[in-house]
Order: sequence, then C-alpha cells, then structure tokens
Amino acid sequence: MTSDLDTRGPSNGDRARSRAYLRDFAPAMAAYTVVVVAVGTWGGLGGDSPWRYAWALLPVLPVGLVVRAVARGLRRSDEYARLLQLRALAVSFAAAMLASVALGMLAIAGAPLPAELLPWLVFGAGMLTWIVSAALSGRG
Amino acid sequence: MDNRIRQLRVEHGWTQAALADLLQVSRQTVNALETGRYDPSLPLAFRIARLLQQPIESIFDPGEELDVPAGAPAR
Repeated sequence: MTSDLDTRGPSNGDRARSRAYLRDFAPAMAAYTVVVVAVGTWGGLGGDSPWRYAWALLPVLPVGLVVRAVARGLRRSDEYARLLQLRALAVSFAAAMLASVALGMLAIAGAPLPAELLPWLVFGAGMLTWIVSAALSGRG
Repeated sequence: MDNRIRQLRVEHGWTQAALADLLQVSRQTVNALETGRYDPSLPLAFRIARLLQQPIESIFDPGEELDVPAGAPAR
C-alpha cells in the first residue's frame, strides 16, 4: 500500500549533502583535468629532462583533492550510507587486488602486456567496480 | 528485524524525506529502515523512538532474534 507520503524524492538534507559534495568534488576534478592537460602539453614526459618526474607526479595533487572530497562526503553521510560505501569500497579493493595479482603474475609469465598500462588496468578495475557497486547498493 | 516506522510515520503525516530531515539521515536510509533492509544503530533507534514518541520495543520487533538459547544461565 502506498500513499502521497511514500514519495521517493530526496530530502532537504539529501540535497544539501549533494550540493556540498559537488562543491568539493567539481573543483577537484576540474583541477585534475587542467593539470593532466598541462602535464601532457608542457611536461615532456617522453623526454630526458629530470623535471619530467616532478611533472609526472603533479596530477597526484588534484587527485588528493578528490580523495578529500570523498572523505568529507563520507563524514557528512549517515550510518547506512557509510555502510553502503564500505561495502562498495571493499568490493573495489578486492577487484583491484585480484587484478593486480592476475596482471602481475601474467607479466612475470611473459604475457605480452604493455608495462605502462598495467597500473591503469588495476586503477580501472578498482574504480569501475567501486562505481558499479556503489550505484547498485544505492538503489532504493 | 520488523518495525513499525512506516506506520508511525504515516500516522504523523510525514513523508520519508520529512522524517529523514528530522532524523538527520538520508531519505534512502529511512526507506531501508522501513523495508527492513537495515537495522539502525542504538543511538539512531533511540532518536527514532524519541521522535515518534514511542518506546523502542513498541517500534522494533526483533522476532526470533531475541530468543535466548536453551541452557542460558538465568539471572
């Protein structure tokens, strides 16, 4: 049995938390995009300047801001939302570890895997499973 | 654990979103509580009871979860 009181729209608190998260997350992602473009344009990662290592590490700074946005979002969320996030993070951690071990062993066995892509495959496995499991557990 | 949160919320004339704001949780959390997908922590259960002006045991029914195993020492 449903009634008008069973509407599924977000609460005022939900909207406020979403806005606050976006205020943290959007500038961090924008900064990441700008830094990655800058590194690609001026970083000279394929060259032989010793500064290329500093350039290569530069995107870590805005990624730190993304991590901060997620952490602040978690602090603002309630106990059930934290439980869902914990489950999603556990699934993505397991996926990243499985991908890491599988790819690492394949590389040792001499499988024709491009070495520069291996960390990104692990990153992709973790990020993709985090997004999917968070979306699946967030329904309702 | 079964509970009467939805029934009591409707009696108060609140939407899930309104109850969520009063409890300072998300609307999704209220839905999970009402459908029995999530059992609240003790502090949240007390907040719910205080807001709905009911004793905790009249809102939440642990059912068989509360059964004491046979042979448990009596106090």
